Amino acid sequence: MHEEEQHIDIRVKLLNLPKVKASDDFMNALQRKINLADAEVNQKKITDDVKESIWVKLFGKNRNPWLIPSLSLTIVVIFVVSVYILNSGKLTEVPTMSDFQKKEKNQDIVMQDKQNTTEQPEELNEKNGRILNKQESEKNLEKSPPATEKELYKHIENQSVSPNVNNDGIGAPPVPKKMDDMRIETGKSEQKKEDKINQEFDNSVREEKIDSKKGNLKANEPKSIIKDEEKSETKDNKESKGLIDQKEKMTMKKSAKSTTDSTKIDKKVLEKIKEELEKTLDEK
Amino acid sequence: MSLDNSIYKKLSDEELILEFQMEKVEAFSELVIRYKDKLVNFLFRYTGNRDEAEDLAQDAFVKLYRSKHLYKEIAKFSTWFYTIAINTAKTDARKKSRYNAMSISDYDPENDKDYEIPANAQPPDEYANAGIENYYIQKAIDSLEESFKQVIILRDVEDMDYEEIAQVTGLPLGTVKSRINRGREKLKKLLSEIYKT
Repeated sequence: MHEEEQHIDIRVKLLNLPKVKASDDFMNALQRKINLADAEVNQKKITDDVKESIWVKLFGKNRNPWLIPSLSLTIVVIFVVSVYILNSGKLTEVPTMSDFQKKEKNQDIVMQDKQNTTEQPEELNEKNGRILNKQESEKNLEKSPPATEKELYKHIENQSVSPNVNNDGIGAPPVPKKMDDMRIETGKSEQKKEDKINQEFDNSVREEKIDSKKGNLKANEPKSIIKDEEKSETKDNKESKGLIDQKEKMTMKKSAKSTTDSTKIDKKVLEKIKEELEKTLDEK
Repeated sequence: MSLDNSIYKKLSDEELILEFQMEKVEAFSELVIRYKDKLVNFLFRYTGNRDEAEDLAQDAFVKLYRSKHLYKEIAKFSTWFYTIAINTAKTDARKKSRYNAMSISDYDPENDKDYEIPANAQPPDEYANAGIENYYIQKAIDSLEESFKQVIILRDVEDMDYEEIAQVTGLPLGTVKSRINRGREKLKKLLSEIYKT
């Protein structure tokens, strides 16, 4: 209070200053300001809620021109990268050794097939002839067994030496072209199987025949016949060995079952022959 | 349950602001009626301009309208609202000091003299009705420093006690008292010089 008493005259003057009152329009002006403030707040809320999408920003009316070069550059970069990524897989497909080996093998097979097709007519003729002979011999044995040993020998000789192949080496009449076409159509694998079966069948039959002749008819068999047989066998073996070696390797696995079946058939045939021979010997 | 306008007149300031916090607009209008003249008078003495004072008073009421939820019952409503008004006036003064100060050298680059004339300079006609003495008193208040002007107006024009002034300004009580005393001394000197001339 002491301080206020010192300058009481100034305080009185300031307190007696006329009071300024607000204008009559003060409330209306205030209402306008409040409405504007509310409108701004609502507008901010709306603008915050509904954000412009990137496409409107980029391509809308209010788009920024400085975005155009950067946007175009990004598009180009994306395109280039995508093209590179798509084509990178093709470029990286470097041929491996296995592929080369496969190709080489395929080429070898094709060449062998070509060679086989060229050799086929003679070989096939021989084989077909042999098969026919076997069937005929079986039939003959079943129908009319030979009465004497000589007849038997002759019969065996006829069976061992293929009837279609002469001593001169002239082949049997060629197989009609239709058969060849059919064989080609049926496929290489079937051809190979058939060839192999035939070869194995022939070899087994010949060996067994020789064994049977040697074992049972050593005393009476003429040497010349044996020699001729051996010669023919050696010739056949030499001819067939090459093909067998080549084709056995190729189709060893595939034809395993078929070979076992053929050997079974051969054994049965031989057994029948043996029985017939024994019967004839007993009768004599 | 909205109360009648007559009932709002019986409520205290603190009760009114609490009602307004419950979205009762009538309570706000009652607060405006009670404080509009006081606030305009305070801001007129603070700024020296009636239109500016009214604008600032309206801005202060808009702030009150938007930030009513910030009020807590701990403080007196009058002190809280005067704080809002003073802060509004200060920020406005800062803005005007940045943008309304004109430099003549901008228009006359050849002239080395740099005259600064405040854009809100008021002609003497504004104060004709208040009398010559009141005009000079207002002139002396305007010439006071910001720290002294604020406390002297709150104490001697608005008749606030020291504690309220301390709360509004955020200054210690002793600082408020000393500033008021020194401000009065300065005002006395200014007025004595004016009367001499």
